[in-house]
Amino acid sequence: MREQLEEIRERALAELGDDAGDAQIEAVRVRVLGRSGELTGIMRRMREAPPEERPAIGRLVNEIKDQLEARIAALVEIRKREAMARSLNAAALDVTLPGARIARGSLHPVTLSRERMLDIFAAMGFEIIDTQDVEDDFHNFGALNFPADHPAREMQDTFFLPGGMLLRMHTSNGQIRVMERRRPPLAVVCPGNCYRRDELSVRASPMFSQIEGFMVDRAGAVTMAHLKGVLTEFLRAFFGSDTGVRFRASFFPFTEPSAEVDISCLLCKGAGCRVCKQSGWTEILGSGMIHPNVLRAVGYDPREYQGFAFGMGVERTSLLSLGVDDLRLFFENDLRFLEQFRSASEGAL
Amino acid sequence: MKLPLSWLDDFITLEADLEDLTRRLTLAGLEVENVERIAPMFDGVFVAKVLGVERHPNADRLSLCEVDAGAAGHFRVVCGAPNVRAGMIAALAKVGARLAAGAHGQGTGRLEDAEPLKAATIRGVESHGMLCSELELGLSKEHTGILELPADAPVGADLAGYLAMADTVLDIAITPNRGDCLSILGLAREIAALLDLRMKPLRIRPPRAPKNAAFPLSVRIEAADLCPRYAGLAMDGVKLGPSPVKIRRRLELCGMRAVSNVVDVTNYVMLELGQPLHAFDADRIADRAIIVRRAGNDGKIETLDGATRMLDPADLVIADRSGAVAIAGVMGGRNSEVGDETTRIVLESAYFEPMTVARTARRLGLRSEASYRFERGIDRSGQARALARAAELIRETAGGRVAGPIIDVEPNPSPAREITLELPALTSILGVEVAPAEVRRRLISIGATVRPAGRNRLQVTAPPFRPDLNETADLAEEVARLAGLAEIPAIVPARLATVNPPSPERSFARRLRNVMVGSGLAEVKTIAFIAPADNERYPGFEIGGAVRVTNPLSAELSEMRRSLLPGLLAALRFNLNREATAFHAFELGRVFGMRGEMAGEGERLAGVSYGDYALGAIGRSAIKADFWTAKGIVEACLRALGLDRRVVYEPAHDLAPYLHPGRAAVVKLDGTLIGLIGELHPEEAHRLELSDPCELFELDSQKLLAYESKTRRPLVTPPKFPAVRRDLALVLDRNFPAARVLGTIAELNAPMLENVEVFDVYEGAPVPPGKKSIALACRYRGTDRTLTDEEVNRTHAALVEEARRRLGAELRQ
Repeated sequence: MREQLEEIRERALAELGDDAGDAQIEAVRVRVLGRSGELTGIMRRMREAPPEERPAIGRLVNEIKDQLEARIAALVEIRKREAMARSLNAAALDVTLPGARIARGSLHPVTLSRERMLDIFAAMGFEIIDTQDVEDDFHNFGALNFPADHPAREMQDTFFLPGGMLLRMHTSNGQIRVMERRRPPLAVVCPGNCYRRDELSVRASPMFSQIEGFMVDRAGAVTMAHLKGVLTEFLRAFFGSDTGVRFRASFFPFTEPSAEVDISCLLCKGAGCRVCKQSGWTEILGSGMIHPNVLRAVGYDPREYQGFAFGMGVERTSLLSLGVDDLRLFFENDLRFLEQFRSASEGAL
Repeated sequence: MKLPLSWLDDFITLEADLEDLTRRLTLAGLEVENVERIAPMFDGVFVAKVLGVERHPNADRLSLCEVDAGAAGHFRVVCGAPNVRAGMIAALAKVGARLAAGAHGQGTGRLEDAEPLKAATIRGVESHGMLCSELELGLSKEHTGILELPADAPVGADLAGYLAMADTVLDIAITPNRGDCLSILGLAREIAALLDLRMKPLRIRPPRAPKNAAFPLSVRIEAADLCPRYAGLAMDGVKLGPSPVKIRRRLELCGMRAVSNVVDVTNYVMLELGQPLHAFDADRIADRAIIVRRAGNDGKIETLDGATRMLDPADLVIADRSGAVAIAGVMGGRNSEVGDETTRIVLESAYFEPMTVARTARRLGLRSEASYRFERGIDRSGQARALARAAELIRETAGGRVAGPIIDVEPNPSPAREITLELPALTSILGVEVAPAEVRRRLISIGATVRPAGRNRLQVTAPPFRPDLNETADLAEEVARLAGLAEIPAIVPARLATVNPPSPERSFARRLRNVMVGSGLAEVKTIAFIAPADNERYPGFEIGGAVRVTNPLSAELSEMRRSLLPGLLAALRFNLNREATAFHAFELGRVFGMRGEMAGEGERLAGVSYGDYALGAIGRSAIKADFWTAKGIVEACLRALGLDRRVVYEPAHDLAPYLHPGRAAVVKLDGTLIGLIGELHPEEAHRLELSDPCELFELDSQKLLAYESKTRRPLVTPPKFPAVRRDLALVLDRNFPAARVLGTIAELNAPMLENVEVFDVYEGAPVPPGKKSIALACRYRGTDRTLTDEEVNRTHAALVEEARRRLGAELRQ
């Protein structure tokens, strides 16, 4: 009987090999462990064994039963895992394919540049104030020391509108608009659109944007040295701390002394190249001490107050920082261009 | 202004290298825009004297010439020019010479391409060189004879050197305040001040007038306010002809064209000294009596360029007793022009007020080198000197004689411009203290007279050629720029440490942009000038009539946009033409409209949504833009601004003719129109060749900012008790707006009703045709307990009955 049991065990274990399928496992379980299975059969024939052997045979039966049940449980678990793996495999995706398109837009590169410029000025303590595009002659010209018929008026051509109005040709009207209703001390930047009679081309556009800035305080409190300080800080913050900054004398009707500001050419780093016409410098903005006549026009006494002003083209500054040289890219709105600013747009505002 | 260095050399001896010069000029406000190096068009050509001319033995039209080129040698050359004669000074190209222009003007213009001249046998006679025409020397197109050089040209000298053919020309941008730099003299003065050089003395002798004037000349100024000074000089014995090559060359280098010796001299002196001159034919001025006056009733005048110009009564003219002979400072008249027959001339050298010249020149659209200088203000004291210089040159080049004294009329002498310069004020502008002696030195270097006037104070007299120097700030600029602004330190002002509140407009615009980017729209920028037809098609809302630009670039850009939509649609079309199949974009920008008689402006946020919008992937099609996309974006935007509960949407009907009449909504905020949403009208879509529905919206962003909810909505703690939902379906006319259903239910104020929303709209069987079924979910909740089914059923049944009755709806079971 003991031999018989060992035989049953051996055979069952052999049949419950690692590759045993579900059917085979079930067949073994029924044949060996089932209600009328082989082990039950042995137990029934227990009487045939000598009484002194019976306890040992009983233990052996239980041992074989536990052993086979454990083996079957383990095999069933393995088969279940295998089935799961097969079904997961069948549901597998090509994860290299693109994901669903989540709607997500982008900001215009000129917006990105302008906001970055304004952020720098805001951090320096400048207020940001919007002013109007449709202006009158006084705020665009007269108060800014452009006398009637003066050749300075023709440095750029102006668009005129009905009712004696015009489209501002610079954001410098912001100086007048703000100073008319406020008293110093003032530190203000005015962003906005400007309009000049130029056809849209690589270098010019009839509509573009500028940032005007000015600072006014008691005479002596805001000097040309401060103008240089503020603009140098700004340009290094915007273009990088290794940017060279150069001030050179110039003329604007509304500033005296006047200075144009150049930065070292971003392409050749000042060595001289085609883009900077071998000079090593790129013109970036105009500035100067506010002309006494401008202060007079808003009712400030130039002996009491003094200040500086500056203005820069946003598109031009943006082109330079992006390293592209065609202004039309900003107004064509080609998605293949605009979408390249997606990543720069995220969290930019 | 072009500055040939060879001409500059008449005034100063330059020692600095070119790079240093251009840098100093540029930093001092005279930006050197270009440096042109001019190479000679020939080499191996010498100044030579023709000693003798014989007929060629074998050709009637050719001559054999004995030519003396001094140290360069003695030659026999064959010459075909009709003007060759013994004793003339000419240009001899020796064997081996190179002519870039080629012997018949067919050269490449590059010296290195030119074949060296060979000795040639012409009709049996050997020629050892060639006498050159201007064409062959590349000086002009003149080829009817050989070049005749002045009698005093040094025989044997290298011609390229004598004519200063190798030259460097600086092109300098002159700002409108620096009219004084529109001359070689002015630039020389400036360079001398910058580089601390001494000017060579200008030797111009006053003309010696004969004891008895050969013919009388009189000048009367009747408009002294516009012409404070007028000087005239009469000359006779003038013979018109071409100018000497040296004068022509200098005019050409400065960008002017040679005309005739007399006219060339007037231009030459203008370039040299900055004083515009004009030459009249004295015999065409009645009684040689010049009157300077306003045009009055003159009417029109034919100018030198052949055009007939209408004069304004206020224009300043030069006239004789029979009428205007020139437009003062702008252009001379045809009726007094010098011509080939002219022998007697009157030279004009005047100071005209800048504004009068500017006004007339601009009105006539007539810009001349003269008006350009008068407008910017010429040297107030330079009139007589320029006449003297011109007389000298006309004597040399046209054989003219001074016929009488300079008639110099100056009814309004200019007062000296005195400026009291307080040195502390100078320091307070510049932010750096410049030593008083250095301030003095710099101001003297630009021609000012400087006297000490007490402690820390200088009395400065501005030079007469610098009308731009009037007050302390002007002198501060001079002091600063002469050192190139470099001595001024860069200091960040201390008071910038204050904190300013952020600009509400800027924060608002940033929020709008963020919502738009989050909604999947790309920001675009379009130009505000559009065609009138587009303004008619897309009139915008609440903006007023179209603003016409008085001086547009073109008819297609002649109005200011009333709406951002035409620009967005143009951008859509642009992208569809370039492979794009979808376009979702927005713009935040200005629009324009008439406010009464005046142009005004507004601001809009607008968007376009076209084609696949979102969530597309392989094997799954995307959501395509439709009306709900556009409305969803607008709702997201208003929610972000906290305005969603105050907004209602109503059918737009025919408020926006460019929108689909059944798919267009107006957006109202507290009853005010703030925007439009809708699908582009199919006819417009067809015109624009769009195959998919195109969705649009436009909002008044200024009104949004004004209404933006400033007070935060109070926070509500999440409810403690569960809600109970009851549904309800009402059958209504197809066009009955859902908003009215919700509004009606809200008016019922049903107890415990927390919220009602539409969850389905159904048309089709079994709902009768022309009707729709709106399914609503009603949410009931108790604030202090869990509601029982029974009480909710009771309330809901009452609500259903009342709603049905008020709306005249059927219940759908």
